[in-house]
Amino acid sequence: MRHHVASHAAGGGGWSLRRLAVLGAALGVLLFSGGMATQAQAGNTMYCDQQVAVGDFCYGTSQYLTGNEAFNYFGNSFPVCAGANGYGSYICGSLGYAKHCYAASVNIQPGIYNNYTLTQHMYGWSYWGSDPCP
Amino acid sequence: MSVSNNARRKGGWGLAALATVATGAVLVLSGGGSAVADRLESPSAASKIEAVQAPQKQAYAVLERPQQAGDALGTTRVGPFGTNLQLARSVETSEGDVHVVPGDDVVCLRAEDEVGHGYACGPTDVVEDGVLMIALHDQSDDSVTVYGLVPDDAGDVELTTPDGTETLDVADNVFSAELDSSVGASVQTEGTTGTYPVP
Repeated sequence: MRHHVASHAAGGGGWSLRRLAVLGAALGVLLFSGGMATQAQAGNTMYCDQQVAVGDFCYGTSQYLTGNEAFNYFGNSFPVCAGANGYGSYICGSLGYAKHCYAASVNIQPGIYNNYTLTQHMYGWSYWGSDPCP
Repeated sequence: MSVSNNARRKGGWGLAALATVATGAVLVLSGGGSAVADRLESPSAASKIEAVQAPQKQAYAVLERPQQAGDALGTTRVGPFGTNLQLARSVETSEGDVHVVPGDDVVCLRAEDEVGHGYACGPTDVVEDGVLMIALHDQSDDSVTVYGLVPDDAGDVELTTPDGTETLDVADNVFSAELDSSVGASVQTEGTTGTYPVP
């Protein structure tokens, strides 16, 4: 009987730990997916993520956009640029951050430009037509 | 035997629990709070500031002066890094108007080009020790219009290009220049060390 109680107690503790395990996993997955969802909820498109910019340029696919930005070097003394391929102009910032906004939603191929070296990664962020670029 | 099994089982679940919780923690760190994720979310994640911050006023007289007609930008939406466009200061330069826009521990320059407008930003504590520049590149002729923000104690600002060096006018902490190209162009100031390439 004692043995049975002990077994039961051990089993109960096991179930508590099992619940803790499940809770931990669920918490991790929820928060992980929540972090990713935050990016999605922003209505933005990320491109050139963890890719080496070929020829210093990295282009996204053509889409209707109101703007795009490059910011993976924010705060560092790296000139970076944001703009559109063949749209006539682009804008550069000296401290790792640049954002280019368009007066209207236009179908463009957004590009980000690393003016510093061929071997650094770039992040881009695009604003959809429904999300005006402030 | 049963006790032994239970003991093993308990210990096994304990390890499993710890491992799973640890895995959860790793997922949290990698997905919700890593440096990369923070960087990716930071421009739009910051809350809009409601007043110019003290370090910004101390470094830049243009952000300390009272606002004038034409300073505030006509949108209540939050800009990058919590910038409040209603707190902007407009500066008239030889190359056109540019706005100095304060954000959450961030200072930005906002300039307009032929297709819209753009920003260059930097952390206040970095910008106040150097130069923040925004460059508008016109691909039709490769020309560049550059605006720069320097702190009150910057002194003279010199622009060096392959053609030589010239001293630029600074008003309201801002300088500007029109260049044939940004290649090989840089700025130095009397009050800061280092050379700042035109972006």
